[in-house]
Amino acid sequence: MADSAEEIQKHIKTYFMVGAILVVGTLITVAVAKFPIFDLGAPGVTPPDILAGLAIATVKVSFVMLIFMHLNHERPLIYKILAFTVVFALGLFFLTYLAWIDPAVYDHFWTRSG
Amino acid sequence: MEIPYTVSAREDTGLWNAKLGIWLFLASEVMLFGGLFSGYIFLRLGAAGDPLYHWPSQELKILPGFVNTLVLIGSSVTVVMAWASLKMRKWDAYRRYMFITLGCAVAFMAIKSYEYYGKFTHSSVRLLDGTVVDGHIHQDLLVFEGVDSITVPTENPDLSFLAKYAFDSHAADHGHGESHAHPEGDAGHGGANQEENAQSVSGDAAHTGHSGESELRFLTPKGEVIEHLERHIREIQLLPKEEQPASIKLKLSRPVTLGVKPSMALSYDKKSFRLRNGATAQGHLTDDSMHIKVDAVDLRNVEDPAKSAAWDFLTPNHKEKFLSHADQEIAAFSKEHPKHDPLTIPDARKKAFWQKFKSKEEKHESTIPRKDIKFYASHTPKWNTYYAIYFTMTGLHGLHVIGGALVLAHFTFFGRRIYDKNPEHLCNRVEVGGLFWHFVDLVWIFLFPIMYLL
Repeated sequence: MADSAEEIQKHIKTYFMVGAILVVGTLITVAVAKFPIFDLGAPGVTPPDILAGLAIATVKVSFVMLIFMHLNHERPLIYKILAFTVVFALGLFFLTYLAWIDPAVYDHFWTRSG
Repeated sequence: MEIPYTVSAREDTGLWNAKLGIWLFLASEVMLFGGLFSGYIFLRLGAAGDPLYHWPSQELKILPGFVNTLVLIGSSVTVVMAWASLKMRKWDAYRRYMFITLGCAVAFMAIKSYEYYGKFTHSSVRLLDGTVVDGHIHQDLLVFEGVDSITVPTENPDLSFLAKYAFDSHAADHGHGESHAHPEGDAGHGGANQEENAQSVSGDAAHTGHSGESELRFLTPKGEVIEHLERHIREIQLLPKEEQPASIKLKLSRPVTLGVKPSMALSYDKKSFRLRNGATAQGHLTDDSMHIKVDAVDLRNVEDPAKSAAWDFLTPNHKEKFLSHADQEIAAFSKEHPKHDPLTIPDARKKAFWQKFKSKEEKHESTIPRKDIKFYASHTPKWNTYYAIYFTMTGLHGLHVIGGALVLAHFTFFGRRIYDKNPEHLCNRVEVGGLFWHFVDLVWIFLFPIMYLL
């Protein structure tokens, strides 16, 4: 991480640029969701629109984490903590997926013997 | 005692302690919000399986959410700039950026409060045929006139409902000129009449508050005036168990009108009601309907929109305009997207069959008979699962904004002492506060699209 005053002075422009990128990303997300001309897939809010919106949000979040939270140059221990977090968080989403599978609807999940 | 490693890094971790601490805390925060985001996904996927439930996509006004996103992005820039200013030992610039950050936090919460207020005061009513009408409820009471006696359980002789629900015919004459009273006032703003008249029948033998109205008193079933109600009830409660009646009947010296919240009534018919606290009363049910100013009609779940129950209480003009607008929307969609059936596209159905009345003239004072109502609620978690998860997530996020702002305010107003002693110590503290603030921004970056846009 930048520590000296001179190094930080160099980063100031980057901070404002990231702010501008976040604003542009927000505008694009609104455009994709709101204006038919940017509509992806079938008319209205459909899975491609949702994927596009989430992809843009992920890019924005990456900028915040890498630049504002200085994760582009951190100590190894912090990356290890975050790696564990990611694994557990993905586990949470996988549990959601399991809960969605309804034995009453999906017969491949529940087979009657005999 | 000096706390070690507040400025210099430990050899084993390579980090000063607070930094390791905040990252561990943020990791737990990721799990907290991760659980809620996965809950959101589950609710949304589950909603897709119910043909009678439409996930309220883009139901919130986008502008406040968009402005709040810009506010948080701006605050993220200013908080990192505050840290950078400290690193460069520019105290004034640091304070300036911190004040802007705090201003952003206040602006964010103010906009969020405005949004919440709008949701709490706006309601939807689902009718038995699937019609949904939106609007502002003016009155939602069971109005019983001519109530001349009440009965309360001896074990729990709670008479407070009289103070809550009583109002008399004089109140109705003050300003409304209708046959039934409006205890919640003109536009559902607090019910001045209700409060005024609430005082009329509380306590032993209180006064009506209206000149010319006779004093209301409680009488025994034999017609004897009860001078001290509490003493009278206590005497009955002190009777031996075998002589003690299960309930205490009280006559009123003159009939009053009661407006009872339906949610408080355990049961009722045209001549009596029983409250959840066990109290019963006899009277004449004169109003069993909801009075609402309708500002939108949603017929997506109605098989034949021309036969919706909404047309029983809205005007023929509303019906005509609604149906012709729906036809126009369907035709326009079919022309623009010839390959798609508009009735199978949620967005097209929403545009055609969920219409908002924008002008003052269109918004209609309506009376909906209670027998036609299946369910109603304000736009709160009670209304649907979308609002449940919306309030849970944005509420928790709002608490984080407040918490983060308090920490940053502390560094802003009380940081000078640490700065003078060791500027790098304050730098590290602000960095920790800033990391939390960026996390708050990061959560909102996902919340905005999933709650407002998608």
